[in-house]
Amino acid sequence: MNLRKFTAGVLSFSLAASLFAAVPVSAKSEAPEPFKIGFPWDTANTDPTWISIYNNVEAVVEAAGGELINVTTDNSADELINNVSELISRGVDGILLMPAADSMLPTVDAMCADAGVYWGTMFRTISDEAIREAMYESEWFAGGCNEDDEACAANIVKSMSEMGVTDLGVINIAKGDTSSDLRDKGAAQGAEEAGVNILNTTYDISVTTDMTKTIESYIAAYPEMNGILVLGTYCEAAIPTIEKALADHDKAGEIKVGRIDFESELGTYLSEDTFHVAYGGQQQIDPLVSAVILVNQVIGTPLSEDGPTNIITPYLEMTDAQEAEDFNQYFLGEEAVYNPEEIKDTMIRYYNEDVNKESVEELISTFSIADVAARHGETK
Amino acid sequence: MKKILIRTLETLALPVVVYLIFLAIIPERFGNWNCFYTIFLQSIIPTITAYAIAFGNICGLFDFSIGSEQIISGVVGGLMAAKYGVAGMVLGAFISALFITLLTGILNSVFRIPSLVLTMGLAMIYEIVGSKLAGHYGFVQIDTEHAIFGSSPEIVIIFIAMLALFYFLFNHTVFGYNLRAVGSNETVAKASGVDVRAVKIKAFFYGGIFLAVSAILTLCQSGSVGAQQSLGSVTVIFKPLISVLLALVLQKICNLSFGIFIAQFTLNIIFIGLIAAGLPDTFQNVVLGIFLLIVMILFRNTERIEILKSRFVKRTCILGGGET
Repeated sequence: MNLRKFTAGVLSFSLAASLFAAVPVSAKSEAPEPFKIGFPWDTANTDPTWISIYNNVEAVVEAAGGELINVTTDNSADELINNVSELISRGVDGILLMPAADSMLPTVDAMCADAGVYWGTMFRTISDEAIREAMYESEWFAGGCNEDDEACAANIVKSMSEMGVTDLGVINIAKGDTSSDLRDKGAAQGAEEAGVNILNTTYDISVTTDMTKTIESYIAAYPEMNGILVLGTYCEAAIPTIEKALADHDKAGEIKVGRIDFESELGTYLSEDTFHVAYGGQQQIDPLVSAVILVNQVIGTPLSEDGPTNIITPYLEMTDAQEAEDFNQYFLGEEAVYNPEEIKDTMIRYYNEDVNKESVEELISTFSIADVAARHGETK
Repeated sequence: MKKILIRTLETLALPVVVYLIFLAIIPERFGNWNCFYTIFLQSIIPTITAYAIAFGNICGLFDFSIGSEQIISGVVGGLMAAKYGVAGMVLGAFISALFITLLTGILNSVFRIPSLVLTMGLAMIYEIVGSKLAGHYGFVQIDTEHAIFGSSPEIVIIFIAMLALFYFLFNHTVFGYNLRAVGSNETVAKASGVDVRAVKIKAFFYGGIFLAVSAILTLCQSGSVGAQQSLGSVTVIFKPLISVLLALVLQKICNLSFGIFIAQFTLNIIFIGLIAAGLPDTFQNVVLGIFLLIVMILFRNTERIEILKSRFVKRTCILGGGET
């Protein structure tokens, strides 16, 4: 009996101790000072990817106890500078944007420095050395995320080469865009290493009629073409349009198709074996982690103490229909790819002192479609 | 008869010369039937879109909203196809196109502001309407079984019918005569008793017929139609508009109905030719721009060119005479 009481006492003590141990000593239950994050984004756009980008940024800001202020933009350099000015006048504490060009950044930094507002970037790296150096010395630049576009493009070309592609027709977003240029460079490098011949690249296709026309022109002009790679496009329904054009010429399945950036219809074509490989998923994780960097800076708990934080977010590979279905459900739904509790516990230093740049990098290193599906599946 | 033959040869000279240039540069890629046939098929939809643009253009209207109207027509057609099949698609596309072009025409008549300004504003509104109609994913797809008009021979038959309809409306109706009268001098036309406002509304409305057909063919050919925003729909207009401008210049030797097709066919030869030559996309736009300028300059300055030519011949004769 005594032994039983003693054992119960030890267990109770252990349980109580473990409960205390599970809570970080510095964890704060109360919210930080109210703060506002400004976010220029085209919220009128009904594209699910664009909506999901907004949702992921909003999830971070609100999880940390802040308010997201949106101004509509067309994401051009001039418009973004006007947006920054407007957001500053609306009293925001931080601004997150997707830069249209490196050259606009010194202006943004000067405006933010004058107003005492932190700012951060998403999706884009700073290619210009001088501008990059100046921005990383700025007190007001929090940092941001970008992807290794070059490596991604090289990898997808190599993947397609392994599928038997030797002659590739390419489609990309407008030249001059940082991602477009890097993807071009990566594709050229991947093609050289894998011995793939890039037949031609068409840029800046924005409507389905032009997409159809380009694919038909490729088929007519290059009978040897056995692969089509979409390095990037803002054309709605790009893959369905390409697939239709290929089917009309009896080339569906015969010509391998790949693309960077996921879209909603990939699952159908993956299951039909007329679409073969996609790299993407960064459109949700990048804005989320970029917002994490900025929010941590704004509330006074930056992820790294020695200047702006730059995190490279991963590209995910999609090669089967189930992954495509999970992507549509969990990445393009209304929820962010991490839920508010996960964001608070694992990404906001104010709530968990152990959070830093390395811990966030480690966290996103396990980020995958299956990971999001498993976590969201559990919470449902 | 001889005159008709000469004019036909003169008209065909434009695409033939351009084709021969590319054939000489890249014979292995350009000298096959498939390539030629693809150029022909690719010219059909922009030609029909150009017919929709031409009515307004001839009577001095510039319609920026055509692309967004085409999207709405395609989206409604696509949505109706899902419920009522091919008949629903055709009906949906026609009703929406005719309604929206009529609305544009009436607004143009009521507000009396430059059509460029009005249609630019309307394009933005129509784009949002198109996006909302397209739903969550921003585009509408149709089943392959409904996409029956997008491939040959159906698309060719529809094209011939549209060409005949445009030819008839433009050359053999009171509306066609009034349209040209308003286009050449609005004040004189008004003084002659032409109801200018009615003609302009009709120009939008009749354009809607061709717009609906081009929307259906686009939907059938691409299998989907995507919504556009921030004036993205305007890009649809550019190439058909260039063909209308070229056709207006070619009008001296060729009827507008055929001129538009010839111009569009020539533009597509250049487009595919440059792709086959491996030239970058930016270069294609430069060449298209230069081509447009050259043709416009040559045809607009025929009299000056004739004078320069006669002067040159005269000078050569004098010099030749001096030497002997």
